[in-house]
Amino acid sequence: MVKTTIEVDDELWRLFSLIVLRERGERKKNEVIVELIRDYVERNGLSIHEKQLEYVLRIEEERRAFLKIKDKLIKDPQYNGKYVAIFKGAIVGCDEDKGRLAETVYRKYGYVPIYIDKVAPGERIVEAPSPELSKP
Amino acid sequence: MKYNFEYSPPAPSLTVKLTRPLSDRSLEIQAKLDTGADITILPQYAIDELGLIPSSYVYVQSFDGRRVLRYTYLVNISFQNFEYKMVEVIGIKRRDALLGRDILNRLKIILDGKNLEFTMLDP
Repeated sequence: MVKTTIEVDDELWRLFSLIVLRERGERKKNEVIVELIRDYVERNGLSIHEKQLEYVLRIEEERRAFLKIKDKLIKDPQYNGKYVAIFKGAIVGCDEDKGRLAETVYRKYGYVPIYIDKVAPGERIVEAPSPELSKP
Repeated sequence: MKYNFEYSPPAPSLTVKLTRPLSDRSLEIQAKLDTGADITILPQYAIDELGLIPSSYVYVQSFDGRRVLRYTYLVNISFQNFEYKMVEVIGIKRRDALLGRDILNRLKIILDGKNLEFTMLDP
């Protein structure tokens, strides 16, 4: 367990305390804050699950290694516009097809955190816009 | 196939089998066809149960313009007689999957909303 300290606007804290007291009773603020943090993590597509943190930390390391060399790769016709796989900080594969590249590197190194991204300027943005009605 | 009446209004959905790359570890879940989605979306619990490992990340823009960062995962997806390997997906806290245009565009799909039926073909 981690103990931490945060600074919160006085009025915001009093309003928060009031709501928690009304809805949960006394001495429940900590419980609500933990729930909020958990919900924030889950809404960002992660969960407190076996090995998830280890995977994310390792993939972030590989991603940082990719970002360090990305500009150089963009200028290199051997890599520009293609997908590259980064493992232990080094390029271990390159292909025009992401799925094929993944298959190749997973077969070679095992199903372990390997960062795969396209050598192209900017960030990739996808849309998932469908709003849904939720049942009460 | 009939639309699924668990959705309101009824929606085209089917059971899909998800398999972790290079393994037999699999899971069957319900998936709704979503022509609005650029990418296929899995419930986070499915990613956890299969033990999928993130391979990249992407910014996802929702209907209200909000943009969030999501890790992407590669998974094998099969349904009916169709099988797609190393499909890039994202995880979200929801109960079913959404099959996006990354998969739907590989098929001929006829939505007969009038009769609440749909067909999927690969002619």
